[in-house]
Amino acid sequence: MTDPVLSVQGLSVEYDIGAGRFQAVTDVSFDVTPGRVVGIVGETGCGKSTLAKTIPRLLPEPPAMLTAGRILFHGTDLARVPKWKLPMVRGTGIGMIFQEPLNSLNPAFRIYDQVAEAVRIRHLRETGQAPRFLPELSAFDYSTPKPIEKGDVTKAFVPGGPVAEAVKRRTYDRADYRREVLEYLRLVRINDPETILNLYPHELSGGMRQRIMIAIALSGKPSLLIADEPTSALDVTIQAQVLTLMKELIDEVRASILFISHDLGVIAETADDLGVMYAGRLVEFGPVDEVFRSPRHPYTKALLKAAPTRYKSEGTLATIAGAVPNLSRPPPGCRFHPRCPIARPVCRVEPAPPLDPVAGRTDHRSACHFASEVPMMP
Amino acid sequence: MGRSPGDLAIFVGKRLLQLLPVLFGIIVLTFFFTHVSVIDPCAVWYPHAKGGTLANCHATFHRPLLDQFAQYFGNLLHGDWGASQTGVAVFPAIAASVPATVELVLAALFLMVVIGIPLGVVAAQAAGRWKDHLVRIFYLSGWATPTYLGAVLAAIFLAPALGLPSGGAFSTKPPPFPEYTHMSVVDALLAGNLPWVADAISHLILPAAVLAFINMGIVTRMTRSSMLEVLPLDYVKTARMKGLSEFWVLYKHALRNALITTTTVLGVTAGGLLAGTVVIEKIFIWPGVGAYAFESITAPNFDGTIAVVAVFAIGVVVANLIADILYGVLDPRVEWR
Amino acid sequence: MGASSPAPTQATSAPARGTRRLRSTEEGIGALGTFWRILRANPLSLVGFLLVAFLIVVGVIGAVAPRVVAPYAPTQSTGVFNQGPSWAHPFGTDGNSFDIYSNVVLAIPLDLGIGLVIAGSALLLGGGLGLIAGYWDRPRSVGGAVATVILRVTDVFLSFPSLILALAIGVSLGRGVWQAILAVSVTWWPYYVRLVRGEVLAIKHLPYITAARAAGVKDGRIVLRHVLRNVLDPVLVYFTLDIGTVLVTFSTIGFVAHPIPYPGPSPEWGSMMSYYSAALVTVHPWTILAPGAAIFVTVLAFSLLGDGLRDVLDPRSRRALVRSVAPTPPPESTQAPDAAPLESGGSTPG
Repeated sequence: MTDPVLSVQGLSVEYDIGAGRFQAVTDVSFDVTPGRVVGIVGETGCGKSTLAKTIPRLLPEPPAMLTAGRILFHGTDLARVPKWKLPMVRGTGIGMIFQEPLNSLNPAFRIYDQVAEAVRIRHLRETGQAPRFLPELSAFDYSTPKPIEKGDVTKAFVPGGPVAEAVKRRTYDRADYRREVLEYLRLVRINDPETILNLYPHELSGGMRQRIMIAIALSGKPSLLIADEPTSALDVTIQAQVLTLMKELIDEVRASILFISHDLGVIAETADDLGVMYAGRLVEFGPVDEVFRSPRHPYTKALLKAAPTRYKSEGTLATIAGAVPNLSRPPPGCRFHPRCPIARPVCRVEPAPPLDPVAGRTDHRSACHFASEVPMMP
Repeated sequence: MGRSPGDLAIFVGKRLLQLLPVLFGIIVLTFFFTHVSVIDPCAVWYPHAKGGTLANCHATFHRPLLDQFAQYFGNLLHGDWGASQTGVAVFPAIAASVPATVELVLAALFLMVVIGIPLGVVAAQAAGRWKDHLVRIFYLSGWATPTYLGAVLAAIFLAPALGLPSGGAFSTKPPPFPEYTHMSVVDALLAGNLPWVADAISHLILPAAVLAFINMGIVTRMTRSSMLEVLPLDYVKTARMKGLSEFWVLYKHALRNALITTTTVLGVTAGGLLAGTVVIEKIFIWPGVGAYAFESITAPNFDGTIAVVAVFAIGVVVANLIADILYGVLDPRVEWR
Repeated sequence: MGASSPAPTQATSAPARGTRRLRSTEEGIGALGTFWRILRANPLSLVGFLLVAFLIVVGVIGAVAPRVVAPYAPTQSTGVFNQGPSWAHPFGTDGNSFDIYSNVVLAIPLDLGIGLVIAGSALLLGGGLGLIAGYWDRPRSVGGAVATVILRVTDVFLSFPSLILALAIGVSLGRGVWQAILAVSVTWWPYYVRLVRGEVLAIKHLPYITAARAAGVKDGRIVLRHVLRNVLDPVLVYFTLDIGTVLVTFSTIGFVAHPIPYPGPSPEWGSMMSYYSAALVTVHPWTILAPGAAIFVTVLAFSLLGDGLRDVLDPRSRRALVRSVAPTPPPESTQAPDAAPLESGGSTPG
C-alpha cells in the first residue's frame, strides 16, 4: 500500500476575472499517503481553499481554469476526466467537508433525508445499480479494524449487528437506511440522534451541523476526505469539540485526510504531514514534527514565530513585514522574496525555487534556494 | 415552531378577512370611476331614443352619485349583482364564465411552470453565455408582444398551421354532454368521453400557450436570478460532493431553494394572466370572464364592470395568498404565527 | 462595481462597507465608464441601448422635422391602394392609400412620449409617496400614520387588475390622448410606491444613515443626498422596463377604446392596429403587422436594455454575479438582510 491515494503534480489554477488573470495556485505538487493526514496551512488568500476545491473539480470552470498539472487519484488523472464522469468520483471516492456550517446543509430538507441521500448513493454504487468511478476500488469497509501500526494506539470502528449484516447482504430497506443514518450520527458523537432526524438545519447549532456534515461525508466511505477549514467558522469552544471529534475519527476511520486550515495549532494536533502554502505556491512540505522542529523555509519559520504561544503581555507580537502580493501580477522569482529576511539577488530571478528535498532527508522539501540557512535565521 | 396546521388556518383566515376592506375599496373605486367617467350613460345607451325609455333612464342615472351608490351597494348586500342594460343578470353570467377562465389560467400557469422554470435554470447555469442570451431573447419577446397581436397571429396563422382550432372551447357548442363544472376538459373527462377530451384540449392549447408565452418572462427571469443566488452557496457544493449528477444537484437541491423566491412573483403573474384573458378570450372566443369583461367595459355595463373588476381583484388576492402559503411550505424557516 | 477583483489583499477604494456601496460625487464621472462596461458585458443590452437611442433620435427628428424621416404625411394620399411592401412604400399602403411606413415612423414621438409621460408621472407620484411611506414610517408618529394610509390605498390599487381599470376608464373617458394617458397613469403609480418603499427600507437602517441622523443632519437633506442616490439604481432599472410595459398596455387600450382617432394627423400604433382590424390580417397582413412589429421592437429594445441593466444595478442580482465569480468570500462578512424590494418583472403587459 505504498501508492499514494492522491498525487498532485504541478497543479496550476487561474481565475479569469475579465481584467486579467489571477494565479490562485501555481505549480503545487504533493502526495497523500494512505492512512495519513496531510495538513495544508497558509494565510487567507494563499490558494489553499482553491486547491482543496480543485481536486474534486468543484470550481465552476469558466472563471476558474486548470492550466497545468495532474491530479492523480488512485492513479487516474482527475483533470482529464470528462465533467459528466466526475460525480462518480465524488461521495464514495472523495468526500469533502466545508467551512460554513450555516450554508453547507440544504435548508429545505430534513436531516434524515440529507444523510440518507448520501447513504443511498453509496449503496447504489456498492450494489452495482449506479456506476462507480473505479470499479475495482471498493469503499473502505469500516467494519474491519484498521491495521495497528507500531506505536499507535487506535480504536477500531466496528459497526456491529444489523448494519453490518445489511452491508453484507447488499440489500437495504427503509429500516436499514434509518439504522445506518443513526449509526453515522452516533459516529460523530451526537447523542440521541433520533431526536434530530426530523429537524431542519436551521433548528440546529453550528457545531451540530458540522458534525452532520462530517457524518454525510463519512457515510460515503471515501478513500480521501478533504476538510476545507472545517473548524474556522465555529466559535472556540465548539471548535475544540469538533476538533476532538475529528481526531478520534481519524484514528477510527481509514480514509486519508487532506486538512486545510489557517490555524497552525489545529494542524499541529491533527496532521501527520504538513504543507505550507504562500501566494499560491507550496513552499514547504514534510512530516509535521519535522517541519515544526526544523522549518527550512523563511516563511514557515516566520509563521511559526508569529504564532503567539504565550498569553502574558511579554513584549510585542512577532509579525512578518510587508503584505501578500497581488496574484494578478505576482513578483518574479520567489514570491516571498520582497518580505524575506535572507533574500538575495538570485531570489528575484525566474524560475521560482523548486520544491526540493532538504539536505539529508527525503521526505522534507523546501522551496528556497537557501534552505540550509533557515535554521540560522533569528 | 409556528408551522402547525392551526397556525396556517389562522394565517389564511386573517388574510381572507383583510380581503373584505380591500374588496369594499375596489367596489367603491370602480363604481365612482365608471360613473364619473361616463358623463351621460343614457346618451351612450339610447342615442336615438326619446320619451319613455329616456325618461326612465334619466330617473335612474341622473340622480346624485351617492344615491346611486347607496342603492347599488344595498342591492349588492342582498345578493343582487345588478344587470346589463339589456336586462341580462350579472351574477349568473359571471358564475357561468369564471370556471372557463380558471381553466385557461391554470393551463397557462402549467405551461409557464413546465417551460419557464427549466429555461430559467438553464439560463442561470449558463449565465453570460449563448444559452443565457437565447433564453433572454425568448422571454423578452413574449413580454414585448402586445397580447392581441400575439393572439390574432396565433389564431389566424398558427392555428391552421398546427391543425388546431382557432375558437371556442369545443367543436360544437354546446357539447353533447352535460357541463357540470363549465371547465371544458374537466367536463369532458367527467363524461368519460375521450375523443371530446382531446377536442377540448386542442381548443385549450393555443390560447393557453399565447397567454403563457406573453407572461413567461417574469417567471423565467425570477427563476434565473434566484438560481444565480443559490448556485454559489455551499450546500450546492455539498450536494455535488455526495456524488449526485449535475441534473439532480440543479433540480433537486438548488431549484428547491430558488423556487422559494420565485413564488413571490406569483401574485404579479396572476395579475398579468388575468389581464391577458380579456383580450385572449375575446379573440379565441373562449367563454370566460375576460370576454365578459370586454363586453361590459365597451357596452358600458356598469354593474357588469364592477362585478368583473371585483372578481379579478379577488383572483389576484387569492393568488397572492396561495403564493404566500407556497412560500411558507417551501421554506421551512418561515413561521405563520 | 460588478465582478471586481476578488483578492482581499487588494486595497479596495470603497467608501463604505455593507451590502450597498454608497455613492459619492467623484463616482459620478466614473459612472459613465461603468455604464459602458455594463453594456459591453452583455451584448444584448448593448443592442437594446442602441435601438433605444436610435428610436429616440428618430422620434425627436420626426416630431421636429417630419419630412426628414417620413416621405409622406400621415393622411396624405399616395394614389396607391392596398399595395404590399415595395421600394416606394416599405410597409405598403392601406385602403385609403396612406403610406403605412410614414404613419408608423411618425407615431414614434407620440408613443415614446406617451410611454415616458405615463411611466414618468407614475415614477414621480408613486416614488414620492414611496419615499414618504418608507423614510418617515416611524411608529407612533404622524409620518407613521401617513405611511399607513398611503400603504392601504396602494394595496387596494395593487389588487386591481390595472389593465381592466385602465380599460374601463379609457373607454368611458372617450377620445383623446390625455384621457387615455390619465386612465393608465391612475393605475400605474402603485407599483412605484412599493418599489421605492422597499428600497428605502433596505437602506434606512444602515449605519451611514443612522450616523448622519445622529449628527443632526436634517431629514430632507438626508433623503435628497443619500437615500435618493442609492434608491436610484433599481428604480432606474424598473423604469426602463416599465416604459415597454406601458407601451404594450397603452396599445391594448388603443385597441379596445380607440382614444386617438386613426387615420388622423397623429398616428399611434395601438390605434393603427385596431383600425386595421383582424379581418385584414389574411388579406393585407402588412397593415396590422407593421405597427405591431413597431411596438414589438420598441418594447424589446427597452426590455433588453432594462434587463441588462438589472443584471448589474439591482443589488440582489449584482451580489449573485459577484459571488459566482469570486474565488474567496468577500471581506464583508455580515450581510444585512434586504427588505426584498419587489424583484418582479414589473406589471405585466395587457
